[in-house]
Amino acid sequence: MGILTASLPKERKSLRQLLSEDRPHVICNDGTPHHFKRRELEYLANIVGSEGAGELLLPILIELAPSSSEASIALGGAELKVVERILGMEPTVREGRIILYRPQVAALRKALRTATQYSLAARAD
Amino acid sequence: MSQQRLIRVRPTKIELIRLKRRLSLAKRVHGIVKDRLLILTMEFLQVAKENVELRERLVEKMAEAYRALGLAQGHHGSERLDAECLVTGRDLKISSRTKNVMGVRCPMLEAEGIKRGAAERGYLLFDTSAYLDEAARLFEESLEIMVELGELKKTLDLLGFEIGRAKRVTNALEHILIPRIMASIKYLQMKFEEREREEKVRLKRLKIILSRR
Repeated sequence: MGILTASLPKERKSLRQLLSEDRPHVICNDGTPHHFKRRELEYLANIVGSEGAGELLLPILIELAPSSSEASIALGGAELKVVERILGMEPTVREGRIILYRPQVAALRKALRTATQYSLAARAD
Repeated sequence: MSQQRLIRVRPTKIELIRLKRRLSLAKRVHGIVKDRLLILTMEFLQVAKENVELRERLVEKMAEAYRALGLAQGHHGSERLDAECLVTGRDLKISSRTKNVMGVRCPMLEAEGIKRGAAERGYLLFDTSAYLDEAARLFEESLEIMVELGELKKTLDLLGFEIGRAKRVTNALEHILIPRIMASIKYLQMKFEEREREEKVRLKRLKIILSRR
């Protein structure tokens, strides 16, 4: 069971904090570091600007429910701006979450391979 | 269908309760492992697609680079070009770190300073042509793609290995453990029903004996 949460960060860091680090990383639940590519961080900084950099928490968690074709991201500080820019369209927002479809998830992961992470939605049963 | 092997347990009610709990846990774990497998497969396919795209880009870039090198060679001559290239040698700084994808620790390679300006390459600018600059630029770009491709290739290997492992766990749960527990539960239930029937017969028999007295 622990392997599912192993890849999730113990604590997320703001983009500003990560940009100031020499080796930008967060510590995962299993104690291993998850590093970010500086190129991706700089790309995100370009999108959100200096104000958004303090609000955007990384890694962005993409919550997946394998039984459904939808994935979602919790709406935080600047996530909507990032998703909008990468997808080139306004995504659906429902109940405080950005709703993504599988091809959109793939596009997002391709652009931000280290700045995003998957998390598994709890099953109803 | 071959007869299902049973888990060796004492035929008691407490064992039946234990087995039922074990079955519900096994089913939950099976669901979770299957979900994880699905996500890993999705990620694997994405990485594989990117891998193909990057490989195609590398082939194109290398073809362009060799074409440019051919032109530079034609312009300067092989010996002169070799002499110029001798001074451009350097060590590359590639840092290797890790990223975590659904519990799989994948490498993350970052090359620093592969691309250089024409003045930083080491050869004399006034003594060489723009053909050489172009060839050097294209080879540097190819090198960057190679580093990225290396990272993707290793990620693909690790994800593939993990998918295989997750599949084995899912199959073991689906085809061995869960059916075995279910068969054991069924066996215990049948055993208890049998005991109940025996008990009933015994009571009836006792009743008849008592009524005869």
